[in-house]
Amino acid sequence: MTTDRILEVEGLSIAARSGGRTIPLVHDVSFRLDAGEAVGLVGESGSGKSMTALALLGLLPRGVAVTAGSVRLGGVDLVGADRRTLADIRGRRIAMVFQDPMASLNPAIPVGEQVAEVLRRHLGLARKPAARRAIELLGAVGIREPHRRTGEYPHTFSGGMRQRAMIAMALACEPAVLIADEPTTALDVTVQARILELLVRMQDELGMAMLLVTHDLGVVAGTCHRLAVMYAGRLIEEGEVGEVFDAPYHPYTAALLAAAPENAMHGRKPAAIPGVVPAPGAFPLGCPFSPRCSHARPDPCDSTPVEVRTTGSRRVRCARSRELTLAGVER
Amino acid sequence: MSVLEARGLVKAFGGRPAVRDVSFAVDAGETLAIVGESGSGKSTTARMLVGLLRPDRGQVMLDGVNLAGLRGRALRARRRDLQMVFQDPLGSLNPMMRVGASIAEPLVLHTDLGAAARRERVADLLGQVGLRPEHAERLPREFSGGQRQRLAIARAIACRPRVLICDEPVSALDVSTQAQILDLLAELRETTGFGCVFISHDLAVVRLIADRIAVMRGGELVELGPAEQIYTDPGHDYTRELVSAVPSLRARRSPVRKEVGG
Repeated sequence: MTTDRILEVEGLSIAARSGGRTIPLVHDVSFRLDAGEAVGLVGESGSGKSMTALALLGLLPRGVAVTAGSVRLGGVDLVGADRRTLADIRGRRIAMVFQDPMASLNPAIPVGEQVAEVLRRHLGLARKPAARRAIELLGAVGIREPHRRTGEYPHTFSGGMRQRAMIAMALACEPAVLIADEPTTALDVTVQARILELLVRMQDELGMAMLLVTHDLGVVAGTCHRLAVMYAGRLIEEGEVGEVFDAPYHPYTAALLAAAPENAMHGRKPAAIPGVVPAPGAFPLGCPFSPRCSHARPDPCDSTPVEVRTTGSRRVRCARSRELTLAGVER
Repeated sequence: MSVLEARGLVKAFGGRPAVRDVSFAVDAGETLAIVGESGSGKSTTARMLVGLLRPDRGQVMLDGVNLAGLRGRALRARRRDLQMVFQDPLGSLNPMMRVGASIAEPLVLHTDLGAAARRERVADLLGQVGLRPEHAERLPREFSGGQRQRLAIARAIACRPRVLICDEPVSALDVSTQAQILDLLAELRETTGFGCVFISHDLAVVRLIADRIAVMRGGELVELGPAEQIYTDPGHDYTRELVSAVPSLRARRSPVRKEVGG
């Protein structure tokens, strides 16, 4: 059996430069995506998950840059790559779907034409075949009457239909990797369920890898094979969804699982995590979660940076993980 | 007796119906959740309840008094009894004003309290929502999202309202702080006894805070019943669809099919 490493992120650090000051946003993050695999990149606001996702595509905002590490896609390091290489890879090899499809769709161009544009630019298709293929793609992502709707403008589409159109654009070139950043957060729950189903189906059909960036562990549970949890710019736990959900190694992962509102559906009260997420620039020297952690001890947790410990396919960044047995999701 | 009652509320925008004949009642100390997706009319209903929108037809009764029949001072007095908490707490906090002054504003408007008594009440309110008296001197931007929502709640309960309308109060918050705010609302309801209308798109969020749940769709109230029954024995197909669409922490995706050989 072979595992195909599609994307490998190694020691990625990202910082913002503001008024002569450097503010670290992401520190020493490593993870990989295998072929056909879906990995959930999970975190709260300020965790650095979205910055990490943007860095993979070379789309960091002005004033924010990768300060260390590499992002390897099939042998090419995207961190050092020039703009032309990146522009070619984006859309063709790695594609992205964002939370707000309206921000990525041009309101003045018919939806089908925007999908066709991707095909013409990256695959060199002529106008007519591109238009035909665009209609097929819109149909494949579940847009009804694609022949009619291909000529319509984004504002005539509902939120869910716009997200489907975005997915059609992202998948137009059958990319090796799809990065979906909170793709269903702005959608109604019933629509969310259908979009997640679509992503899973398209992933299976195309054999592509998916990085699903989300704050919602409920979404990760049924959609992802593995997950990587981020907190205050650091990756604090990584492993298979079933293993991590059953028995998390990091107290933050356990706390996040216990805080998920979905617990209420099984009659258990979601448990609040006391305190607040530290602001970028105020990340402590030791474990960033220790001020909120009920298992923290001053000595191993606060004084020195905590190293990653690897056990089998799982990784955790907690000084006390060896001694702790934490509760996961009850089955 | 119910503290708040909606009787046959109807509202249309530009000829398009947004709320069609919605009726329900809330008792003191009770939480009624109104759950629905976008376009369901839940937020329009909330706005009619607090008087931000005038219903085309129907009445909002507060302690048996029709709010639409009131003018001037009588209306202002009743408004005091009906307060709202929004999804974005910055909507009810002036960014340029120290938060103590923002919280004191309704006290200035609706009570005879002097400056010293107001300061005391503000300190007391900050304590009730889990903040400290010295926080009164800070500006909204010095607080996290969850803390700002605490401040908005402190302002909303400043005049001890009979009813608190919460419109998606935790939707913009991180998971770890959502539960904090839900706990706070439950605790305040216990100590102050207000009736609560909790508007949400999320059936998981309202599961433990609601006594009864009203499900809205396309401007209509399709089902109203005890919270437990909505989840375990929904009477309407749409309710069933909503319940089953909540992502489960117990769901698992089947493993990747890996090609063998090579």
